[in-house]
Amino acid sequence: MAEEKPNSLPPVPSATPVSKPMWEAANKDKLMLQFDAETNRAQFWPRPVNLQSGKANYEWREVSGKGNIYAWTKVHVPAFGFADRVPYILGAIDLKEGGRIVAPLVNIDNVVLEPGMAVKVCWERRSDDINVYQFEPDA
Amino acid sequence: MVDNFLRDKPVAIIAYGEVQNQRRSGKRPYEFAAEVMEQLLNRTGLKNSDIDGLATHMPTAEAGNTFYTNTMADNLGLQPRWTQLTDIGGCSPMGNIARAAAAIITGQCEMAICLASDSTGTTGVGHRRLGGYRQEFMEPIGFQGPPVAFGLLSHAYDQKYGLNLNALAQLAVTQRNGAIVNENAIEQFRKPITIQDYLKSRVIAEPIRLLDCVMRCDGGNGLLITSTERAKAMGFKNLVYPISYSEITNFDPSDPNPDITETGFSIVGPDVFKKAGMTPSDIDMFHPYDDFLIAVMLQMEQIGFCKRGEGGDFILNTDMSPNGKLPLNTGGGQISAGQPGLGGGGVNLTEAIRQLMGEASGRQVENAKNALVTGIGVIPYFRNWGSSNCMILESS
Repeated sequence: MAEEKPNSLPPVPSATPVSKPMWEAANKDKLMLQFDAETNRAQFWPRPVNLQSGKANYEWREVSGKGNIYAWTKVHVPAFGFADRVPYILGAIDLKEGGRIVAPLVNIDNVVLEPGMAVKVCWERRSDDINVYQFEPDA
Repeated sequence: MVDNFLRDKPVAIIAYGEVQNQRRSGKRPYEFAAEVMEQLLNRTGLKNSDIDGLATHMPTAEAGNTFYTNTMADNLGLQPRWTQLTDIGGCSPMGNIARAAAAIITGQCEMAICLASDSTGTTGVGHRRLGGYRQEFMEPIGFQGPPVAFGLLSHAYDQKYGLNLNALAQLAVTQRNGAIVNENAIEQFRKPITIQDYLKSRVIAEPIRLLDCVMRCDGGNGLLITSTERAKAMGFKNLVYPISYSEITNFDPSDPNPDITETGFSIVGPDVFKKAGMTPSDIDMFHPYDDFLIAVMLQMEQIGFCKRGEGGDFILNTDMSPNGKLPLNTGGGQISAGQPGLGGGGVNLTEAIRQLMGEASGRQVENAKNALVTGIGVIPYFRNWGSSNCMILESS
């Protein structure tokens, strides 16, 4: 609910040493997650350790970008940079390979959202280096 | 019986202080802390030099000040032998009681002041470069803040159990009635609201409405705590004892796809009762942390006042006014009294102490001997909230 000038653009995330592989893959329209090799459990957001072991023994794997909607909310009071998009919908997506990601749900103008609905990743370019994930129906 | 270091009432709260919540005061947390300390000194007849322990929390308005404790001590003329800076959000003020108790029992200090103050109404929440998930993974997707987190949480709850908006509306009205008679509530909230006002209030992030949310403001609160032996030797008679405490941070960290309707209260709720040898039916008053109304309902379910999914019915079938079966947030809660930034965790705590000392004019709960108070801290990246704590307080 920050006060802002009209036409502010959404913030462009900047990669950290930990998240860099994810953003580099995103730049090529690929979604990559950290995995624990032993349990095959994925995690999002990228962390300096593998949540299953507490050590840095995670591995990066490309995933399908497919998943199912766990929950969503229609946002009427925008975040900074999103004033011209209201109302917009943010969804929590359970990814097919595991892990959960919160992202904009797009291309849903004539779609009735249902819990568990299949969605797939698509991308919004924010800068030369940064492509931000969003999700659309997987028809 | 679980080990409970507070069971034999080794420490006692001898005084509380609170300033009125204000929208934009232009002041800093130090000034509010000073006003609270002056109240505490006036009430007890103590001098600031009698205080040898200082517990605070990191206020949003001073975030980035890596010498906060020293600056606070210097502002207040304190020379503590024990200090504590706690940063578990709305759990901090009550967490500081437990930490001060441990310090007093182990002889690190004798008379501790626990202060909570902030001025986010004046400073806003700021935009600094921080580590973690917020700036990299939340702001760039339009995650506007806590209403989005609670919108998603409410939707998950609605799918699983069904969300009863009338029950949330009832909670809103019950709490607002408390703010009307609380002279420390933010001035603009001291007027009645109806069920319809709640249902028709502006939608922020579905199904979260304006009247579901706290409003940030400026303010402060605090208390003095010492050993029970010393309190009695000094002649203090109106004491409040913390008799059981439980806290958890970063609930369920390893599950990447958790049921987000589950919270740390599923652990600390039963634990605080087990330590006290009590059950929810033994509780005279409930002062739950309220950043959003649904958080109050989830706590009722997970602490054990009712079963999961039955919070709505429980609210509609239970009189929660000061004269009712389970008086709830009698001063309005933060949602109707205001949330003085990260000092907000002390708002309902102060009200519980005020009640137990018999000083809640206009809303006094008769014959209340104990209170359950809770705290909530931090909105994580799509999991439930970060910290949860519970304390049972008892009057002398």
